[in-house]
Amino acid sequence: MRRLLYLIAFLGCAATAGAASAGSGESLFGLDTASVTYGPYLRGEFGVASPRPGGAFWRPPGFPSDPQISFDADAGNVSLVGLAFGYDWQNGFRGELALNAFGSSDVTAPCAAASDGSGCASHADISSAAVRTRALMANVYYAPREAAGNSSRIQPFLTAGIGLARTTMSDWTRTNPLAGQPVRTFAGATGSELAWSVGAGIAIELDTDTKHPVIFEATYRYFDFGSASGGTVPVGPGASQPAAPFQFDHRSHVISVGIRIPLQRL
Amino acid sequence: MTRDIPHTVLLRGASILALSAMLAVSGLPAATPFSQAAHADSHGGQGQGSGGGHTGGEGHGGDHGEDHAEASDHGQQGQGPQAGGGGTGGQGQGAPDPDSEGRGPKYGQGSGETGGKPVWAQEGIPEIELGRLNVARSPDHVLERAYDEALSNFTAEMAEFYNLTLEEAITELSLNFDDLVFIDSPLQNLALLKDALDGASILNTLPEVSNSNDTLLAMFLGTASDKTVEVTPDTAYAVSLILGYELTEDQAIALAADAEAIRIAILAGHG
Repeated sequence: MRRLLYLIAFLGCAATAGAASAGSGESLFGLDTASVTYGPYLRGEFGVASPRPGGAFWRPPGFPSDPQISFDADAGNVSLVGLAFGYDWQNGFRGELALNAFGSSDVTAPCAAASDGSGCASHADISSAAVRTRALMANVYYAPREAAGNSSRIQPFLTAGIGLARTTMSDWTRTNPLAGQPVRTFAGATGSELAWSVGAGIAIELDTDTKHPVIFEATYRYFDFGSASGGTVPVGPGASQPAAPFQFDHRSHVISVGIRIPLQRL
Repeated sequence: MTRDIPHTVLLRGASILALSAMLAVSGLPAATPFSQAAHADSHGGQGQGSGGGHTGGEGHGGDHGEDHAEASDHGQQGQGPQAGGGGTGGQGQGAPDPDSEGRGPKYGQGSGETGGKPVWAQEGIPEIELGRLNVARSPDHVLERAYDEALSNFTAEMAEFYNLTLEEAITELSLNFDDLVFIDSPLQNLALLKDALDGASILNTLPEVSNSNDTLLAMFLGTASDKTVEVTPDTAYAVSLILGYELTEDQAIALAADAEAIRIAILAGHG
């Protein structure tokens, strides 16, 4: 994963350097203006997502006699790919429909607290789970410099999106050495939730005199995918079902790089 | 760079579309300003107005007076509004239809010109096939970006092409197309056309370029056009009007002829 981050950083630096050098000095007018990008475009991206699960808990089969258990959930970084189709009004605003696919992230969640104040030593940890998310987002972008009439090839932007996230949690396992069944596994589940994102980035046009100019983009986004939840059906020994399955607020920081290509060359 | 199309022009455009639709329904060919003018040039002086007298002299009688009076100025007792302004018409006057009052909607408004402009100019944008020249309708900020982009990518190699005379350009485009470097983007060409329509192309401000503005206009328009769509005077007039300028009939005819020669040369050279 660290290699991916290095690659993203490298591509960003390379794009910036390329934009700074390409084209300058060749124009007899001494200009270095971005291409016309008005119209529809395609955008592809890849990047790294760092999930930040929060508010994790479960209610064991004995609830409410047994307390609700809160967890300090942690999830591993995953890769993501995205594909978007949008329209650039070239007045600082563009909008798109984007499909993002995130890799499977391993989740562990040691007990943090019990609702009755009892110590975690007697309660279960979540020793194994994994989540994977697909998100269909409607994104809008605002490039303040372009909106102000600046036609530079380097344009910072803000972005926000809203959409639908479909998150699948794999079979999940709770471990409690003091329990009659120290290890129990429950089925996974898939759910759809409202998702939103906010972020910022920079767009750098790499080449201005091609039929379809290529625009490099580096973006940071914060995603909230709603809730991720496992199932309640036991897998393996034991028949009792939890009152509420292991679940958490599914949020993620995402850094990505990509290219945007205007489809209509006017 | 920024010039808005007058609102009245849009209204006129809508009017001519409605007119054309009516003419199509009635089985008559949809006429456009310059095609009508040409028609009147050939027939007006003989008093044989057969459908186009309103732009070219007084050769149109009342044959269609009642049928078409509300759609155009047909049937104006032969008072072609351009008779005085364009000098293209004759003096022929057909006999009014016995059933017609022989009066069009502009009857009594004077002859020669209306509101100081020839009728073909009053009627707005001709209904013609513009092909990729339609990108001239892009928003102003897009056209301005295209203008900047054209200048941003204007190299010394390109300057060689824009120094050619019209004849040289036609020859080079026809025979050495692949060796030429020039602005291909229709929007960039139209942005440069818009800039040059005021009589002074920015390219001529470069020490590397010295050319007739008319030649540059023809290069821009001919290059911007589809290879397979003829550049007519109506085309030149329509595009210039969309870009915020109004060519005279003579200017439009001259520009179209030169631009058409460029277009054909590109077609021959590029295939």
